[in-house]
Amino acid sequence: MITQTINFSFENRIDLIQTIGEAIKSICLFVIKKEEVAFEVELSVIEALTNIVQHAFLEKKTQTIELSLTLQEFEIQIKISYFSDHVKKPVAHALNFDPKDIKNLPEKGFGMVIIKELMNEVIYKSEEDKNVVLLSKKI
Amino acid sequence: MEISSEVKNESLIIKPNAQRIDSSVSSEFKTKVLDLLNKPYKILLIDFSEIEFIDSSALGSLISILKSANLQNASLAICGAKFQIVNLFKLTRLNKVFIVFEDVDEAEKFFMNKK
Repeated sequence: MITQTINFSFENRIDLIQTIGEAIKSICLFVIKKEEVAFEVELSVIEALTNIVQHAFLEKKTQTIELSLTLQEFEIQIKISYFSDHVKKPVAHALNFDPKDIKNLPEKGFGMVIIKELMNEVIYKSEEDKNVVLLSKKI
Repeated sequence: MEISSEVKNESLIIKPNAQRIDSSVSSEFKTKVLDLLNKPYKILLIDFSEIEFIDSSALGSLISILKSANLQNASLAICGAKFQIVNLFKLTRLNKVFIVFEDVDEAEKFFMNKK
């Protein structure tokens, strides 16, 4: 299989995340032909993008997010780049809640848990003057 | 997001008429379901048979709905969830929190036999 990279560039709007997620799922499904992998990549990308749009950009509405999807024979890589002064690396909370203690169940904090469970590698870093999220999944 | 609802005996059956619940609609989903919980139902069944995709914000909304149902002493169950969604519950340990049934009929039989 030839390595293929597809680039996306879009505004930091919550309503665009679904479109990007569905596009990535469709490409993964077309190339890899594994429904489960395509779903897991879509979900991880959506969780990462939602976190960026909701937390990193705060009130700035005109920032651009760049995403590249690279498909290799045994791996899918996603690189998300964006400018922001408000970088808060999301934390994967421990899922140590008591399932019977309903009133104290957490309502937030599942996003990073999901990404870490579904991806083989998750890296948050700075590259030049951009913030970068790297996700990779072996297939 | 459109939600249909049906009352059967002491159960409220809610069905989101959508394929996705993500951060763009999860708070609307939660608000609409909570608005329907204005009467003391014993059982709340959420029919996920049309849903193809949920994210962590949808999980948060479901937990919030469960807390409200619990305050009313109502049982909550998810019905007809697809394989990937059931897997997401397992991944986040929420399979220990939510009862999941194959479909609404199975849930109704379960709660009927429990009486």
